[in-house]
Amino acid sequence: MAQNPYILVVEDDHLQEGPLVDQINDAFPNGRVESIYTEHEFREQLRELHRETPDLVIMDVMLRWADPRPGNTEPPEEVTREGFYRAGLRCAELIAADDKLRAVPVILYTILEKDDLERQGKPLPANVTYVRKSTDLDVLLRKVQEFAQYT
Amino acid sequence: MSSPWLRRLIHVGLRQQTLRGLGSLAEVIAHAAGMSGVVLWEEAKENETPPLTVFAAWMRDGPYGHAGFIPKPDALTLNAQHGRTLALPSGSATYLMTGTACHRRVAAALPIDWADRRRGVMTLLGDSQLADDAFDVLTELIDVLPNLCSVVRERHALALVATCGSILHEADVASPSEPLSSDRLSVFLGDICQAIADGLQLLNVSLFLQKPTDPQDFYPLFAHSRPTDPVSGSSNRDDALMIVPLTSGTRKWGRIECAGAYGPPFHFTASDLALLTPLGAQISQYWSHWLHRRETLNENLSWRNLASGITILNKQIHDELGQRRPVDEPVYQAAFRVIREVVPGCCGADIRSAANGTAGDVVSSSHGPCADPDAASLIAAVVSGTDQKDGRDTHGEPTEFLTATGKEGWLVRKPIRVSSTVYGILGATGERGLIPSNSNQVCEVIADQLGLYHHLRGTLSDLRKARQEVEQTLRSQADALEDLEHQLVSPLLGATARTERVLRSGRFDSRTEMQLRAVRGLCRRASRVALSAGVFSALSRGESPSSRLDFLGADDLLRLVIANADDVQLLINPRREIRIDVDRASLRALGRKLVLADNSFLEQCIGNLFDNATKYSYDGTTIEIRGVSANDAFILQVCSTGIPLEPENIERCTQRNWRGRAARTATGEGSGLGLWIVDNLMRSMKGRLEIIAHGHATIVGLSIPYATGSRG
Repeated sequence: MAQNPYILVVEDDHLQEGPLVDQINDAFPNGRVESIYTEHEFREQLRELHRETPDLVIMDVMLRWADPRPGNTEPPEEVTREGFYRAGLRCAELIAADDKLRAVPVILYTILEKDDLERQGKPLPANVTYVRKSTDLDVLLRKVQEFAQYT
Repeated sequence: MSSPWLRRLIHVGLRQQTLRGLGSLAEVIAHAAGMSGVVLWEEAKENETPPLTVFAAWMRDGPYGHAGFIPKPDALTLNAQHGRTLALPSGSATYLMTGTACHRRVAAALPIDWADRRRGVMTLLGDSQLADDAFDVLTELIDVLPNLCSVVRERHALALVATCGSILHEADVASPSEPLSSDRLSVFLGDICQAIADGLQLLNVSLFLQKPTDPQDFYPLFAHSRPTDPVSGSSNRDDALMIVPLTSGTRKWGRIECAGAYGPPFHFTASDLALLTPLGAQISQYWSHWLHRRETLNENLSWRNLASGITILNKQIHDELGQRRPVDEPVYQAAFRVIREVVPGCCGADIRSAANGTAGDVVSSSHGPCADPDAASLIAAVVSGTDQKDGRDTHGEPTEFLTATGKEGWLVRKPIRVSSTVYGILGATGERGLIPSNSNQVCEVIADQLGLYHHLRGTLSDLRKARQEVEQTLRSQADALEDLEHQLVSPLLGATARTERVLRSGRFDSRTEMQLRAVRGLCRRASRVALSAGVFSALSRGESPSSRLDFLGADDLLRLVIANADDVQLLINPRREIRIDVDRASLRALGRKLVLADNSFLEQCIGNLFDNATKYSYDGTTIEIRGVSANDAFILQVCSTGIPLEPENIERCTQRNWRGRAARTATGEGSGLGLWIVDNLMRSMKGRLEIIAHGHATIVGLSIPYATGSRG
């Protein structure tokens, strides 16, 4: 990863997203951090990511489907079935299934246990790294810097 | 000369309805021949003596013979029978005994061939010789006589059949919907016996019918004719008996016994038997039909009894399953009662264990256990599952056997099971030879019911255990939540107070102040969530939140609302551009009035409503908070524009874990607990939660009752 990485943060809680983005910006002053707040928004921007591929995606798992808007589109059947508890995982799987994006590393940053994410016996995609959310953001930053060092 | 006698004979013959008419024919012949009497004979059965029997007769000077007297053919008559030619007296006169001390001179005897191909003789009685012209007349009359006699007999048979048909029709009309009782049927059959007795001039006609339950046994006397006292004399003959079998195909249904003939010929002929045969068929048909109807009626009654018995059994099962520790014995006894009441002749029932190691032990019985030498093998087959093939029983069909007392009996055994789980074996027994037709099905149905009972009992027991475990887990979780609340609330309240103090004591640049206010908001929000967790744990244990009511004025409400609104505004994502607008004037409209509320509970309620409003509001909209004075309460209203709430779902909003479809699919988040907690908190304060929805606009109000007193 270059010293001016392009990092995508997918997090629906701006109270967590704000400090996280601030910390990353501090760690990579020349980098660029962009935020996506809902699963629907992520799916909409997926094709856009082909044009400019992020160097790293930091992904929350429990994401709301969409911000309320008049005439919101109905979510796909799998979203209705699985609910918002697996939204980030679905987004990570979309990246893994995309030929142009499958090399992009994804950090699943969540309060859920790793076992919960793999509860149906389905392992996490190969490009996914699990980091448990904590009050100490340094844990996450060290992982981000590891990616920066080895890529 | 001859034609008038012939016309007269035909005329008389066609007018006759009864067998007495045959005597009238004899009378015409006697007059035509100028004789004082005529006797018509028919051939007796082979090897019977005498070889001829009287078929009909007429005497000018009195009735022919008397009851109990069987005339024997005279020599002239026998000559005519054997020679098949006219026999006239030659030399000494020939006499025919027509009574015990009565004889008449025979003038001539002519052979006659009856319509049924039997041979016979016409004997002319008189003191004078048979004239030539009389012989010519007789020859002409003899030509038509057999057929005329047949017509008379057939008409008589038809009349009897019609009479009986009419009587049986009356019997049907008397009870159209169900078969007549045996007693009432006896009356109608007695009328038939009487009709036969009248037609054949008999003193006694009896009808014997087969017992429905035993083809080898007959009712000793099902019906008989009434005693008659005929003018023509009474029978004193014991040996004059005719038996007409009642048959239908190869099946024998009973018999008609005729005795006591009091009219000529005072005994029974083969023709009499032939005459009653169609009548016998008619009675047989009616009897078999009656038996069938009665069987159907009994079967219907049996199923109705079974249905009502199962209702009672199920009530017993329901009562037992409602007990903490159900007892099997009352259920078993109820099952036994049903079997005994529904299966005819059932005299005992039992249930045997099918558990390994105790297979065959009687666990319950009615009137003692059923003797069953093969119980062990059936139980072994049932337990091993080899008693069924292609879903059908290969064992357990009703069987006949000898009881311990040596009587013939029947036995039915059915497994009590659900699917492959066998709970026992049900048996029923009776001491009658014939296996009741419904025994197999009834025992199967009852065994299935008992199987379901055991299955339900086991399932309920498992459910009770599971429920106890779940309740225990829930209690533990509720306790853990309450503990968590205590551990969380204290530091969070401390953090809030300290942040507040810092904010009030120092001067900071705007960014720092904003961060501090956000920290304070987060602490207050976390405190509120922790307190809600405590309420949730209390509600989960079935307890009501315990409120501590205080007098609150307009300033107190305003402070609560503004503090919460400030927090929400700070914590909401700025990019959504949702604005919080507090209508302070409407809140101050409370004036000097006070409301009664628990400050902490009210804060939780307001916070929850704000959370919901921000969660479901459209971007760029304004959430308005205002106060409304009502008659008995002051209402804090939170008005927002966002995901619509269907009016029909308003009542369901306060149900635990309920979430509207639109909210569920639009955002996906939320637990459906917020309004449930608010509703319970408001109730604990004697207030209420009010929800109004119209299109995209939703107004949620907290109705807080006014205080009747004043602040101490």
